[in-house]
Amino acid sequence: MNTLTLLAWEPPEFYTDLVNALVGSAATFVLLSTVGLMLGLKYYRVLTKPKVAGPIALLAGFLLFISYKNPQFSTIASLPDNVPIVMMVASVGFFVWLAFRQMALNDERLDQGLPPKEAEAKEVEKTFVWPDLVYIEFICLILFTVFLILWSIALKAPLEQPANPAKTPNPSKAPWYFLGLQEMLVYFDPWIAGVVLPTMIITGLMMLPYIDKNPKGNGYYTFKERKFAISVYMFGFVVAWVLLIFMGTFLRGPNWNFFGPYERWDIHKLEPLTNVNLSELVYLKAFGVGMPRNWFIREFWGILLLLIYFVVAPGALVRFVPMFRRFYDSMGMVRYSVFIVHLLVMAGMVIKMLSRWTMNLKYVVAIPEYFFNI
Amino acid sequence: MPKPADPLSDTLYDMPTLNRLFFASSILLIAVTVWMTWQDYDRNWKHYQRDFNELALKRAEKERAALQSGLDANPELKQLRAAFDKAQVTVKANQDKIDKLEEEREKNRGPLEKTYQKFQFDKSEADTYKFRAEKASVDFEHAKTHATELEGKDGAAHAKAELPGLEKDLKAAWERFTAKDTETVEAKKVWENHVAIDAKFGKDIDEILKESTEIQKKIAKLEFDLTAKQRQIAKLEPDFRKDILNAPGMDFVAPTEKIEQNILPQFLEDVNFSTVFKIDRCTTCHLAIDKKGWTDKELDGTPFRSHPNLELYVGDGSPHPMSSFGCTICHNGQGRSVDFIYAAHTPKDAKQEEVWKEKYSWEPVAHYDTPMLPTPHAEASCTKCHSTQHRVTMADKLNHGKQVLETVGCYGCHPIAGTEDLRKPGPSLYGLKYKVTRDWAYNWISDPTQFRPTTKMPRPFYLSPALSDKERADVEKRNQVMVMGLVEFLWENENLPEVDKKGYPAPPAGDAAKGKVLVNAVGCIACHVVDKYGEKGTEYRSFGPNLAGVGSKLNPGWTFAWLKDPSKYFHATNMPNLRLSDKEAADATAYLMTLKHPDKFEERKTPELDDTLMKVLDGTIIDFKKGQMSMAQAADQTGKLSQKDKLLWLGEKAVNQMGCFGCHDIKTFEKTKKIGAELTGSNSTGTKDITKFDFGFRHELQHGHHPLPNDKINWVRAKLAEPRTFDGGRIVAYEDRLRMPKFNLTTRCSCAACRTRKP
Repeated sequence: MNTLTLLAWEPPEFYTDLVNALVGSAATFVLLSTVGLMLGLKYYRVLTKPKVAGPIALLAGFLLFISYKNPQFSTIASLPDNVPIVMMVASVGFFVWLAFRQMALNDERLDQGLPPKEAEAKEVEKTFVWPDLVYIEFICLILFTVFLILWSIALKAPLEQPANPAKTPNPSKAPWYFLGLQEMLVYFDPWIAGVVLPTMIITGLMMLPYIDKNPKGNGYYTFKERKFAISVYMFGFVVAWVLLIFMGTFLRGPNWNFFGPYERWDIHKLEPLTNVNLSELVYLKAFGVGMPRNWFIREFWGILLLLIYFVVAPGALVRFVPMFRRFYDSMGMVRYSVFIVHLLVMAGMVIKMLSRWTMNLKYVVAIPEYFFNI
Repeated sequence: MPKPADPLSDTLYDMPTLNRLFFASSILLIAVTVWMTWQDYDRNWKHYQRDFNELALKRAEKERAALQSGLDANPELKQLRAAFDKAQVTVKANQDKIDKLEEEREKNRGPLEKTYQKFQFDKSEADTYKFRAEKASVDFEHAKTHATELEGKDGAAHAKAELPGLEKDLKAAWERFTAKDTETVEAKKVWENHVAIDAKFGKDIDEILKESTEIQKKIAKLEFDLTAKQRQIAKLEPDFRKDILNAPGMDFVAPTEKIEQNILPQFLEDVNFSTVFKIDRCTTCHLAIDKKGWTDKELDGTPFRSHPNLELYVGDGSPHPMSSFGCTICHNGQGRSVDFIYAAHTPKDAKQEEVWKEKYSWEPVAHYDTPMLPTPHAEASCTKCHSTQHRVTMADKLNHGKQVLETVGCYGCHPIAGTEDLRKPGPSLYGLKYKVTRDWAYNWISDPTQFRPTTKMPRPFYLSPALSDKERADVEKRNQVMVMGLVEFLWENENLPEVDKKGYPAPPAGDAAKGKVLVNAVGCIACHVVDKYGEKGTEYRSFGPNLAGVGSKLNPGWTFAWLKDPSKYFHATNMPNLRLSDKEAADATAYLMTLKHPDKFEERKTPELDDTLMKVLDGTIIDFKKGQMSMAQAADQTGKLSQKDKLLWLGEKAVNQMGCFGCHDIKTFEKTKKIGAELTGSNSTGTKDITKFDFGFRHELQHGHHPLPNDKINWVRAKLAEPRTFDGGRIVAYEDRLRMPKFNLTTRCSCAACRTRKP
């Protein structure tokens, strides 16, 4: 196969079918991403080696390149407002690799009893703010401005055709940075997806320095000394934020249906929306009786489940899981509570998504009488 | 990052390298900024204006050459030029004299301008003093009155004490004003003196030049057009001053390349939550639209062409001048845009679309409600204002469309404003059983064109697309029982006046040969085609139906009675009473009965209601019923009906479902609402949003060739040609299928009928 035939090569059908099948549902997409992240975190020392990471990056680049030859993929990925998402995915990949490569190198050194690379004598020497920092920053600033101008010339405004306030496009998508939150709207009521969850992202980020008192890793890269912290953060950032944005951009099509990256966005596509509440699962399916007429009795099990999740579980974790016992001891009651609530909400979000995909669960607690659904 | 060459350096990086990097990136930044500015400046419409300027210049130069050669051949001009040369000799002889006079005149010019200036200054000062004197006078008078009023009260002494000072001020102001005024008059006299001197010199010079000046004037008159043309050329010619005015950054002052716009305050555009004036910028590129004569063949494909009908549109003297109507009020499109695509240009056909895609990367506008009408459909806009006119002069297609709409009777099913008073388009079915046989009715309803290829009656059955042969067979059987039910219902529901209920006995014997002569003579053939069966060109010949083949249709007794007095059977018929005698009517009947259908239509039978059809009949009734009740109830109710009642029930349902009563008088359906969507009003076809049109899988089903875009015009065209086409590819229950019947329209008819209708 010479270079020219390679350039003309389109992704073969077995490949596009396979990818569509694997990625063409929200469940498999998020599960595969999560498994991928877990494997990455487990084998980071091997995977970040240039000899391994290089070919992986090349393969990814090659797949991206041939994907652009697929008409459906290129139509979506070439839209001027989707170009930044492609760039974001590439740059997130690069910087994650860069950080983990540093961690892997340092962790090797720590294993051998050496200090981290950053603590070596020649690195700790002080340098001047001017010119060593400011001058370099200024040159970067100029070059980045050049890049932005070139980008604006290549993809001119307006990015899309003029809008019409009387017409809602289908699919109707939020700005790219909100697509992760928009995805949450599929699983939660707006007050949770649009208010509680974003607020907790912000408060969570704010409280990080007060919760995480581990001094290890200050001023140097390391993974093995802060495995839990980095793993949780990576899940929250890469899967629950970046990949949900990716999903909202490339995999959500007309009528907010889920499509594989090479699947045509057929406006007629229909998926059954036969979601059920937890109370229906309990009474209709498990007990085989009619729904109780009193809302409290009806929703009792859901409320109980939430209470167990948010009240009993934190204590139980401390009691039975040594790692959480250590957290509790080092943080104290107040910090531990703040930490565990944020952690449980993040996990709860994924659990709710998983139960939607596996059990068609609509709401854990559904009280339409008071417009209250969780 | 480069490490410093000198290991003892304080800095972490090598400064000269960073300096070079800084220099290079700064140059790069300047370069891309310039590039960006150019990209922003270099708009498409400017290219059009430049191209047009070039064309206009070429045109003007050609015209100038023509004018020039015309003048060169003009003998009068030649004579004048010779006379002028002769006069110049005299002028030359007196040149010394003129020079001397000019010299004297020039000497006078200094004092003339100086004295004029002095006069002007004196005058403005005198005006100021005049005002001050007036003010002093008013102040003094006011103080005097005030003092008188205060006589004997507090402050009287103070008021009085002010008076002498004011009087003094007034006197001084008066003196100053009168002195200046006198000075001004003097200055004026001096200036006027100099003016007189100047005029005298001027007159002397003019006297000497008189003859040549007059000849010059005559020449200028002859050369008037040429001079104007030259001035126009000077404006069009490239000029560095224009380049400066149009340069990036300078073009905000007074550019020659600028967006032309036509503001139309009388037309408002709804931009949601606000209305704005209509503004049309079309003339920014369509620069010759209001100019005559830009019709050359080589201008095809450019925006620089005259409007094809300047008499009627655009021109200042026309009934629709551009200054008050603009462009988009008729053509639609986004008038504010100066971008080819965003202006919502619409190609007139697939060929033009290809060309545009190649040339402009054309694509349909995504979100604009009213894209431009393709040129062949521009007449649609006439109705916006001329809706009350039955015929709009010069809008042939629109008129034809209206005519088709009335002839084929679209208004039978669709409410259409302005058609409320029209009678139902089809004949009355109140007494159908006296007119034709059951078998004939069954076969006619199944497919009217089988009997009469030119009939106006649309075909209501056997049209739906099917996904499989099995489905098609099922639908056909259901159609059969529906039609059988219809016939049954019509036979049971006759509704004639008492007098005709006795029936129509066989007519007296008549002479067919005499009848033929009579039919040709009495005027039947003015409305009816009699002898040509289903030929092309017989569709529009006549008012009444084609009578070829009626011998296979009509009951002779009914025919006789009808010929005697048509309105007795159908009060709203268009057919006049021809006042035939019994003998004549009998002869005509005899003749009409000889007009047999070539394919022996009268021998076609109604299929037998066997077990299979009975099952289908039951199934169809249950399917219709289960919309209103549970399936068990539907089956139960159906089971209780006799065979005849089943047919009657389904027949009534069929009349309702297919809307037969829209065109025909049918008993019990006199007041039923029309079944079709309203075509006029705020939800008319032309106004309705494109998203409210159901295209089904039509786009997807057009395999193998370039699919037509899902736009309104294609929708209407497809709907009229194949009314059930949007069911294609769908799995639809029999009772939920589309219901519009298929009309026998030619392409011209269906295109004309889809003109946008607005109230």
